[in-house]
Amino acid sequence: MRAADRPFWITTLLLALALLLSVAVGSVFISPANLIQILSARLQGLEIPAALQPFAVILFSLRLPRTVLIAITGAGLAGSGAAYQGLFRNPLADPYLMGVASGAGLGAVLAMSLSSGQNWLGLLAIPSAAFLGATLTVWIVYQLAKVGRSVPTTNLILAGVAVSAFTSSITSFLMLTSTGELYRALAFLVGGNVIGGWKPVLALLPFILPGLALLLTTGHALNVFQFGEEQAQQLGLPVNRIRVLIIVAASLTTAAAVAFTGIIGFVGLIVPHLLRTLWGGDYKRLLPLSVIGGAALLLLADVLSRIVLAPQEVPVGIITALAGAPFFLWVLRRAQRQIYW
Amino acid sequence: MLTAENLSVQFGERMVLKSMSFEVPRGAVLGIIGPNGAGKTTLIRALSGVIPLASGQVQIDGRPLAQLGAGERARQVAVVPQARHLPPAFTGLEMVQLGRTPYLNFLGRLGPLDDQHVRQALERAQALDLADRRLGELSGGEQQRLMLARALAQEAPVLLLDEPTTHLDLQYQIGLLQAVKDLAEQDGLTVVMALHDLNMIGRYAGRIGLIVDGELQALGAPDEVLDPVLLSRVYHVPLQSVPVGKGGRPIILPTVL
Repeated sequence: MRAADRPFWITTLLLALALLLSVAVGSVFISPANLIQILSARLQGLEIPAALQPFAVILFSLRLPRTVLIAITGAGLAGSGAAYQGLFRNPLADPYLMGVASGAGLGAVLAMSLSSGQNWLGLLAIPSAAFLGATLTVWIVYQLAKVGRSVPTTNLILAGVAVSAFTSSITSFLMLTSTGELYRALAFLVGGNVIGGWKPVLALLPFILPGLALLLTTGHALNVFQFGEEQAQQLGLPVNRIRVLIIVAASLTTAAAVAFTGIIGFVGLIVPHLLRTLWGGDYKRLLPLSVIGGAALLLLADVLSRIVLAPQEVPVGIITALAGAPFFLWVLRRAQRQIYW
Repeated sequence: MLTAENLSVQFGERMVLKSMSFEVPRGAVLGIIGPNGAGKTTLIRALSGVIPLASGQVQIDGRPLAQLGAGERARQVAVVPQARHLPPAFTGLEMVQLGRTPYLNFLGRLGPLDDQHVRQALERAQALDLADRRLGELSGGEQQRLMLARALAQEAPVLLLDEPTTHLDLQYQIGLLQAVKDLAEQDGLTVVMALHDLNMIGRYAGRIGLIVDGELQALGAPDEVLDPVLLSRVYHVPLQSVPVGKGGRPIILPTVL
């Protein structure tokens, strides 16, 4: 094993462990032995033993789709978080900055209040509306921040924070006035709006796959961006075009992440920071590591959310903030130096 | 050849560069001097094509810089800006490799030829020993040498330097300036270099331009421009020319010393 590959092995192992825990743990525990038996029977096309049938139902219609949904969400949040931090060279940047997530949230809540359907059209409408909301917000922020031909990063962030506050308040208003859906809307706001089944997962794929694929190609460009936009230009990067590309890719990813799980804080912020502190700031590595690490971390948080108050579920967004914040602060203190950034 | 034609730059209401014209032939070093705020850095930025011009144009071998795409521009013009806010987690090598950006595709994978250019650039900038160190651990002078190496890795025929010796000790100042002079004379680079040190610039620049308030007040051989009377007026300090032994170039010193 080359030393350069070690971070990938470690994060991948962690992801594997998280995936395993996520399918096994819950109100009904599925032991690894049962898990293997069910999966191997299914793969070979054999009849699943009668004693294991209930486990199989739980596994295929509840645990697996939820696991995939959560993994996608974590990957998307952390991947776009890393990209935003790199693009804006700001350690506070995450999908919530620039109003991307709040715009996506507004879109998703609007779609939910208009259609209550679990049918395909209704399901696809949610990530589509989230993406529309995200892009529209980014476009507005971008226009507001523009000065002549250039778009200073500070302006972008400040405009983003303001627009974000604005859209969030519209979202809150919509939630308060939507009578029947209040619980669901509230759950959305705290990141506990996990819709079951495979349909939401499939509805997300057209957004998350191109978004992540695009993001993963931008490592070199983000490395150049670390020296500032002027030097990036002097090094031959078409700065304005690449900035748009990264924002679009990150918005797609964020929209997908927000659409069916709601507003989950902190993952997009802490995962890239943790990985940067551990293995340096090269974005060609940091982006894929964040994608893997984000999926692993959110899965672990989701497992926690199922067991801390079992049989009740705590919204995963609350867990990420409650467990994530102290953990992050501990890492920050332990680093005993200015955080590598 | 680098040509500046009627170059004007405006920030808000203020004209920072006023209708500046000059030519720098292949293989020549043009030194730029002037008091603080005169427009030296703005001139370097304007020549690199990263700020909008109020009027005029920059040409490289007759081609207007503004018409070149970002990549082609970086293959023609390399810049050593004043080093500040470098990302601390990068190693020297990683930073210099970014100089190859204009030759790479979007993914930025380097080939063996790129590695060779990076190594050569590190050698020429006396920065080979800094390759594995993190930028955050380096002194200002060490960062400055890496900035030069990164610009050299761009292999551009035009090299622009903005106060490249600021954080360097005497040994590296002379090393860097001699390296720049060699690049012009031996490799035919066209160099424009802003420098504070009036005596150093007289030794390493073939011609000197004096900028005051955004205007090119004088342009010519070091002997013409480094005139104590002219400079005293511009810098608001009484200056004198002090001869040094064995036919060396006289040095400029404040008379108060």
